[in-house]
Amino acid sequence: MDYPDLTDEQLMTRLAMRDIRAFEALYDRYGTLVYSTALRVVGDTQLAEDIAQEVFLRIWRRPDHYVPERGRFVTWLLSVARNGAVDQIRTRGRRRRHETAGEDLERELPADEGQDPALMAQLGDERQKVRRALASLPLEQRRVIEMAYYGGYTQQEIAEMLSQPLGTVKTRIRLGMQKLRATLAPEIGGE
Amino acid sequence: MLEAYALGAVPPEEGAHIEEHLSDCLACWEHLSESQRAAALLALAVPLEEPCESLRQRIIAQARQESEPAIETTPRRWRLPRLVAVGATAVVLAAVGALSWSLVETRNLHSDYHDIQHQATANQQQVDLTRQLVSVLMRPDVQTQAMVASGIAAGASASYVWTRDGKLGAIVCHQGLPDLPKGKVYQLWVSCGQTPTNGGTFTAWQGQCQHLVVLECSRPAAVDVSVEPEGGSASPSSEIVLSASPSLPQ
Repeated sequence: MDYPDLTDEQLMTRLAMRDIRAFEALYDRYGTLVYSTALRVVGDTQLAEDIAQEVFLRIWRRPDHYVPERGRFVTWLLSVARNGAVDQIRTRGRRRRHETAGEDLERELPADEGQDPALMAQLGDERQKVRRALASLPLEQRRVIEMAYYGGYTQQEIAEMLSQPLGTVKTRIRLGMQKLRATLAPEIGGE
Repeated sequence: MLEAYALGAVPPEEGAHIEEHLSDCLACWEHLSESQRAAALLALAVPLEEPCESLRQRIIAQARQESEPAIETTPRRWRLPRLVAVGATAVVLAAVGALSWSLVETRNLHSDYHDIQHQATANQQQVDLTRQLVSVLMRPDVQTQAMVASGIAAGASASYVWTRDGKLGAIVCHQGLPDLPKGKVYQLWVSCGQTPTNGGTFTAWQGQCQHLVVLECSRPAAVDVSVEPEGGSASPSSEIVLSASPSLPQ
């Protein structure tokens, strides 16, 4: 059996039967993305590795936590990674310094084609669509969405950090998310 | 506000108010669901950074360590009556595997009380099923008949096994039964009279399957398997892919 050719759901079925090769295949497919997601949130390589380890071992221990009817495996997996990372920084009181976020936003999102061929084959097109959708937002909308999702900040915290009225932050988040939903409708509908 | 909730950007007290409202607003649920799916896609946009190579080794090693009491990859040897040879071995291995899995599941439970209760019930059902499967195959009066495979199952090797008292039967797929696409299952049909009755659903794993059925008659005219939507159908809605005729002379 060629494990890399199996779908995520097929690998999860085998993983539930304690098939370690299915677990290895899932790590090989998504290990980099899970780690990168955690790193984007916590900004600390050691902590990001700890989070990635916990995410994958959680899947190994409780594969039944993934319910296929609720959505795709990859988005569920990344949500687990993102939420785990946000929990960590909230628990530890560590916050990534987002004061430089504004400078980062002036640039295009860095291209990363060519990295991790297995992942690119699986999700390359979709990743580019999401990156383009995010990059197409007005900077002030993209900034607050990134601070909320990748930084784990509440609207109130964002308002204080940016010295903006809370209502302004709420509006930017709402408008930005509405645009993302519209731009990514095919991907969202594909869930 | 739902967009911010989907991003996890509202404090717990505001989140509680939103959840309370959601319980009465279907349109809000749909709106939130779309926003959550959009938010979940954001993780795909992160720049890729390679973790150190030792991370993979640590994770796999830890998983292996935690799974040691569970199923071994290589099949164990079991001494069974020649009568049930290959099919029996497959079923017993699967049954013992299921038992081990349920025990490991039990040991790994760290969730809340209700989760444990639910799992305990499921484990007990699994143990009961295991006992029944083994009981079918270990009985001296077990009968077996090769099933005819066709359609998408063409090339599969499967047997129908039953006890002479006609109380229990089992489908045993030795190899070649294909995995089904998401949302589809195999469903067993037992024909004791004119109309086939539902014998339960099952799935294939690595070309194999095992499925137990409590019989309503000792020698059904036909035991058939079709492909049906998840959850099963009231009557066969697609072609028969596995078939046996236990009532015919052996």
